[in-house]
Amino acid sequence: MSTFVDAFISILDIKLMFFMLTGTIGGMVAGALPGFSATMAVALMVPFTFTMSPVAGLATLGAIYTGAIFGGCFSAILVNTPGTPSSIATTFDGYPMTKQGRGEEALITATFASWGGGVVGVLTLMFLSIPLAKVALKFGPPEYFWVSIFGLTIIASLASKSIMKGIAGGIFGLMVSMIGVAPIGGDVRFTMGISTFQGGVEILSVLIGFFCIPEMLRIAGELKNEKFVAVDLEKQTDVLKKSFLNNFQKPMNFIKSSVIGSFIGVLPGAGGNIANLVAYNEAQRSSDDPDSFGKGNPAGVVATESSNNATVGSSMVPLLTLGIPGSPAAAVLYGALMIQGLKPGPQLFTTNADVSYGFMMALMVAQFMILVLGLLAGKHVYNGVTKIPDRILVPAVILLTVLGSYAIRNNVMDVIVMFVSGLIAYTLKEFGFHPGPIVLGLILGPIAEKGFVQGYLMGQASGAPLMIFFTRPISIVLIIITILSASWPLFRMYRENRKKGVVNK
Amino acid sequence: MIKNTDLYGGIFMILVSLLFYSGVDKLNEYSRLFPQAIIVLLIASGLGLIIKSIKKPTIATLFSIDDKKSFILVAVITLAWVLLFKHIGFVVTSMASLTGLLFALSDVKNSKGFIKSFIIAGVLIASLYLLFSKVLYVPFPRGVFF
Repeated sequence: MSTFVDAFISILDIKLMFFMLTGTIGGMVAGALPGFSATMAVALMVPFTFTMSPVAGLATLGAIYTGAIFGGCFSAILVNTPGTPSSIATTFDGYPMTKQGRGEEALITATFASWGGGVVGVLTLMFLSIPLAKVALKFGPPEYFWVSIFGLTIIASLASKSIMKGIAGGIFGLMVSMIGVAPIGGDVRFTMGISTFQGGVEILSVLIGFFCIPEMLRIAGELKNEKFVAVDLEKQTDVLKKSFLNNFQKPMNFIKSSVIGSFIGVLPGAGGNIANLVAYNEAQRSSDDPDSFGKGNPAGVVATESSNNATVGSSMVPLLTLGIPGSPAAAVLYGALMIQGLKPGPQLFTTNADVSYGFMMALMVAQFMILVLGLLAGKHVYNGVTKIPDRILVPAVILLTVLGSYAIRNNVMDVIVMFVSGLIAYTLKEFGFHPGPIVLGLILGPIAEKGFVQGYLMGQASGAPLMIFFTRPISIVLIIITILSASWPLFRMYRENRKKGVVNK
Repeated sequence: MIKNTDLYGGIFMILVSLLFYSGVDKLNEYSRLFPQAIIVLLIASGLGLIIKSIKKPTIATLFSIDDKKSFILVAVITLAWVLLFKHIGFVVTSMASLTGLLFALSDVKNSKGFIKSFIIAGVLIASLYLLFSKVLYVPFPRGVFF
């Protein structure tokens, strides 16, 4: 305990606090800009930390990362565009809340959830690093394959009206994720002669296109009769209290989502982009009113935002304990540690304990910074955005999507992909396909393929390539969870039909 | 237009799977192992939707847009924007497209409305250009202009 106290004292420095505050604000702005991911924000700031002390440098980068993951919720809630992939599911209920005139409540709810989730994630990093790292090491390719299959069972929750269309959409997303170089075979596939596709379809561009462009086209198409009112400007009262209660009146949703985020964050290769969808699915599954999800239920915002911020701390577990960067942002921090002359891994806790514990404490302080900044900024950002007329908002958001999708890789093709994805998403939405399952397929596709083909190769060594997927203990547990998760909607449907039958009788 | 959305969705999925199927032949065993399975699943889901469209179709009104002119203008101007971005340069394309979008959606369709759109576009582009290129070091395409 004294180590933590010493670490806390070591970061109580005005200059360091200023760096962290600036980093948190900068991260929030970057996260709110569509296309500007948390990793990019952290990477961009690494050169500025060269001259800082190791603790100050890492603390600033940690603050940027925390701010960026949190900042993603602003654009997700206000303009239906996930600022980072970690906020995909925030759009499902956050944007409907904005349309109902409850955007401020959504933002403040997200602030409390992000803060709480972030604190749980950092506590996980502080106290459960070693055992969780050991579990994460036991995950091999077959386990990753089953994790992705489990992730795909979320489709049933995301599909809303038609499970069949949800499944088809998910498979379509998986198919699109195959574009580019095969992860194991090495062949260049399905690029249609477009050289940019060799590196795969840029997921952030597709995300921006899928969520933002259809909404902007829809608003433009309904401007004539002023039928579409993007935001009801009726003043809300007791927003702070409501938002606090959304999180902590029935804390089970918040706790479960934070734990889900903390665990998924530990797994190398997984992160907030998967955690927010898994937590959303679980919140909907266990809710008394699952049908209200997707229509402005604050529990959806709580689940996604607490889980994605919980991954911030826990994603540092493999980096600090094993020296394995488990997420792209952790990889950038790995570089930052090396620049400071430190070697990530177990020795960080022995030879450089002051740095590792100081970094953990800084991450904790950053969670409180996003709480204060979120509470202060939420109302003003919401009021600012709602005062912009739709006739200006639509072109301005389109400008941001163009800029954001270009900034990802400084590639014009990503901008074209973004817009074409938007047109496809608009058409598919008209056909009754929800964008959620498609995006889920896109995210999980590479993990599923890599896990499957690597597992298959491992199995070939024993002569039965497919048996390896069904015989390992963790795989068996994951298969059982997958079956339960997939059959839950069917069970719920059966139970509802039975209830209806009893009422009709 | 009132249509059977299951049928359209099913046809779309089968067309996509055929497009991907045409690229599978040349791949080695490990590159095609997973895509092959996904193609089969995509065909199956497409066929499933087509069968549903016959047995229990979902009928919906497609593309019911009140303001078709604004919708098409936004789509066309944005398409031109993303296609010309590289060749003409960021500043010129964005100024023209954003002014066009603002003016197309504006309810004041005269020279005053155009000037207002031009000024708003200028302010937005200048501020975001400065943020992205000077603070975040994003190099924008210069094209034939700047």
